[in-house]
Amino acid sequence: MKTITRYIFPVLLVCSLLLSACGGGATTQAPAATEPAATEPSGATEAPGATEAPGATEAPGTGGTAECPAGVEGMAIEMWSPFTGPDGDEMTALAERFSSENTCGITVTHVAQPEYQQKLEAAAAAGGLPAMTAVHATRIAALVSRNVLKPFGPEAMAVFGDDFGSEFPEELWSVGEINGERYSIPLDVHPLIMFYNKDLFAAAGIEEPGTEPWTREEFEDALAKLETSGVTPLSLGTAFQAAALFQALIRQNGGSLTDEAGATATYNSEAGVQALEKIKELRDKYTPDIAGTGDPEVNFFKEGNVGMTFHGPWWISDLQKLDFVGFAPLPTIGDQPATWGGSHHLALTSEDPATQAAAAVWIKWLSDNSAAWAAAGQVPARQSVRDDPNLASVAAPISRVVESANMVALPTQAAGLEGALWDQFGPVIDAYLAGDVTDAKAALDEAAAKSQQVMEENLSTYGG
Amino acid sequence: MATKVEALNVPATRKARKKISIIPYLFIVPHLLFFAAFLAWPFFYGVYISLFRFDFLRPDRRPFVGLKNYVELFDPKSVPFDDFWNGLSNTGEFILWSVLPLVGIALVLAVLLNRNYPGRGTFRTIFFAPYTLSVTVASVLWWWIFQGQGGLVNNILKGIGLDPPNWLGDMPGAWIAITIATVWWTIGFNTIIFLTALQEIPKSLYEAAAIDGANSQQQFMLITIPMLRSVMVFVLTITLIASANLFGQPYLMTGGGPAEGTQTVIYRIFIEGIQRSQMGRAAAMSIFVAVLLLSLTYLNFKFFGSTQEQ
Amino acid sequence: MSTLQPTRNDIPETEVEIGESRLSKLGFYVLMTLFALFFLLPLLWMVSTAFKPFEEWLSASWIPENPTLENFTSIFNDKSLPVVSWFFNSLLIAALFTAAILIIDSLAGYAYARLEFPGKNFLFGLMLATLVMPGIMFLIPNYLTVARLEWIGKIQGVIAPGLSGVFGVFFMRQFFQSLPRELEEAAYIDGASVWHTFVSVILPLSKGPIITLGIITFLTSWNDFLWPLLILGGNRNELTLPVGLATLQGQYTFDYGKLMAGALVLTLPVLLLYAIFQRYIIRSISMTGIKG
Repeated sequence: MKTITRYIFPVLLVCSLLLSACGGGATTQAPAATEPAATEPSGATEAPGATEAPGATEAPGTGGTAECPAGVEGMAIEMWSPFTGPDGDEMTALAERFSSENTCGITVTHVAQPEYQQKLEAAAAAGGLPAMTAVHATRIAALVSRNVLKPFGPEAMAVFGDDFGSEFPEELWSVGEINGERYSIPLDVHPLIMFYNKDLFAAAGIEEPGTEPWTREEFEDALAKLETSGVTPLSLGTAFQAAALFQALIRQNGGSLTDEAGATATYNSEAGVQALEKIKELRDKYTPDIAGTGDPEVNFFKEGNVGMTFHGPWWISDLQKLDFVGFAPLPTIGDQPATWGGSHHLALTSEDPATQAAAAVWIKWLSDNSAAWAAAGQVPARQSVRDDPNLASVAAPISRVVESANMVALPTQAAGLEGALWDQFGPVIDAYLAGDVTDAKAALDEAAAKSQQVMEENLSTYGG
Repeated sequence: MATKVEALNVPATRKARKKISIIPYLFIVPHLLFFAAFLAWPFFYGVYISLFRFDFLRPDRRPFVGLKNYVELFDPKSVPFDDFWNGLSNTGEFILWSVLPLVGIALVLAVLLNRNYPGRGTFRTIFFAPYTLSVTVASVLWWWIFQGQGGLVNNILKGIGLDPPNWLGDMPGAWIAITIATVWWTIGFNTIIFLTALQEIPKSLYEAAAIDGANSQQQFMLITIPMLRSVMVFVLTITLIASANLFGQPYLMTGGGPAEGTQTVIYRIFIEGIQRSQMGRAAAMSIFVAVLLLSLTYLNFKFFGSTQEQ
Repeated sequence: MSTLQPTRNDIPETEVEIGESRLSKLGFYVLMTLFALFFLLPLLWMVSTAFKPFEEWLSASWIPENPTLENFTSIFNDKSLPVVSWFFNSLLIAALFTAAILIIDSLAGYAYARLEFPGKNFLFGLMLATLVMPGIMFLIPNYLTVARLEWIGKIQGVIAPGLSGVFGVFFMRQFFQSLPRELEEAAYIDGASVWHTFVSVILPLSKGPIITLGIITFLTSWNDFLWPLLILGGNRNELTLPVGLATLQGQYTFDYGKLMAGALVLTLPVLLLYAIFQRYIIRSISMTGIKG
């Protein structure tokens, strides 16, 4: 015993100093500020990195709510969100503006939470949830089934009015409806868009894209012209970018990740196989070998010798500092226009009717004024905001890609989607692009079978 | 011994001599309270929930499943099987990558530090400095250094005309990057242990050997190595256990990729328990890993022989 | 081998003859410098990136062409300057935690080292058993316990679970066991109680290990991220430094300059502490596992 104890002591020293694994102190040095893309290849990635908004202008379609619901006078609402960093500052500014402007005496405090999912769940277990939260679309179903998010009561719904849903694209609005109840209001969407090099386009004789996505002919024409002019046509990596592109291309080819009910994985269909093979083809022909997390493909694009790349709008604030960068929706590489997108929604975590009503007033105002949020690098979900010509002066790059909101393909709402879908096909994509796997169909079939297994288990974990 | 004794119930006969004092208990009680509440309780709670399908937010959905969570780990058709064994094999791979450098280089550094020369203290300080950083800072720093485009390593490689590889996006680049980061971060500790052991070796041994005509090579092989045997076992063991617990570096540097190739078993437990809300399954995996580690430690002692000093 | 009996020296440094030639001395220093560079350069790169403006983040040069403080402005340029609060919160929490650990673990360590009581080995074994469990399993149960005690958002909530750690107990135990028993026996013969012996005889001899344990504990608390994140958060000014800095990084940030600036702000206090106290840390760590 003495022998062992002599050595256990340094074991402890090592354990407690090195990593979380040994239980001592029950503190885990868990992941912090950054979440590399490959962890969540698509759904849960977020749009960050914003510069200061060029002046928060009063957005179009304000139509401020005139009457205040009963009982909201003087309410203080705390809103959590995953919006750390500069995005968060933008949201905080909006919250402060609302607090000072609204005539109902409601004050809103915005609290950005790193690891917000864990925080929400821990708070739910301990009974310390705030009034409301911003949330990623893909998490909504699971959070609902675990009683973290609460349905919008009639007092809250009255604030929005019956026609509110028509002001959003169907895909986004339906995310918030579960079992006939409303659980969220869409705030924004962050789609996969195209960044292109204006100078290289001009030199190669390519006409810049407008606000409509390029057709397949236009895209392939551009590729050819760039190749002829001697520059690298495309910058395509693996990890997040490849996975997002895969999802976009499946939709473009007419397929989808799951069936309509969200009960069967269908990404191994012909559309999916073609999507995967197409990405490999593009990478082999038009792009140097770039791989890994950290978006190295964008860094490569920034060097100035690449014609195009595809990524999320969180890169806008960074790339708009370079004069040669232009913005456009994702081209149609398959048969029809579509793109991948993540989406932020606003949801309620409190059941108290007065709190819900007050939160609803804030949500409505925020939606009306979401042009300012666009300046933070998101495409507003609200139709009227997107249509407003003033958007261009507030957030020029966003105004160029607003069409993406109508093209975006969100997977059918189901709890635990990440584990079921992305965790399975993500590695397959990486392996296929690296050449470790050569039969796309077989690999996708295997992954889909695994996805099916997990989806079935999800049913028992989260409920139908 | 005239220890002040407050006898509680002194058993009349057999143990008349041995009085039970409450003094020791007073010493240990403060720590024991916290230990019981925050270490022991969760431990037993973990064993308990490993017998359920457990979601801490759904009291209504906690079916008792007995040993199912454990059995699943060995059933190739079950949901967690592939990922769990992928995790274990990745952990094994990292152990193979890292243990030799972590022990071998530490020994070399210790030998180099084991002399008296100007600047020795400064060198020692520098070698140990990274150990004071948090796992987050160390991992993010090396993630940045190994970035495919714009990272320090590839900048240097490009500068001398070499093709810059995708460190974090390829195998074995990802393991190389993680290993280098881990060595940089933690080797100071092993080094100091070796250094101390080296300093325990009486210099008269070396002097005597020198008189007998042994050169420094022979001195190293015939004196240093044998005298270090028990310390070697010990450093090996703690390094093994530390490597088996790898989580922070792959999480922050590669996200477990490429293609889940750096997703270690602890990482897997994190995903199952925290991200997928399968706490019962995560608990079962944890206990399995714990038993594995205990066995590993025991075997290590057994195989490499006595831990007593010669 | 010589017939001389090897003696155990207490001299901390032994001298082994290096080859006397200039060349081999030079070679030795070159080797040492290369190693030192391996350890230093990443830290210097962190500093270099932290002072680079946005346009230069990807540049290969070590010295920024236009060094700037812009990466630090998001940290230091807020109206309420929360970073100062965060710094002092971290300081306070780490100090309280360290003081508590030193007291609790010295007491317990001494008991396990020197005092006899039934159940001693059992408790010891229990502590060992909990060690090999992955730390993730302790997170939620402890959160629930802290919630029930209504310590969420309070310093007690941040500190309490860490006080269960066994490392400090073992550390002190190891040291106490290495002290010669004669000291205590002498005290007992003089009629001193256990408590009195502990306080007046043992503790004064334990300054080194106590300082070392204190420093290691302080470092651990300072670097802690996830637990303070879960417990704190209502009021922005109540966060600790690592958690606060995390709120400044965008969710998906690849703002390398800002990342490195944040890392630098987190790291400098720690490195400073280390530079001042490194002799104690290294000397006391060297006591592990070697001496019985």
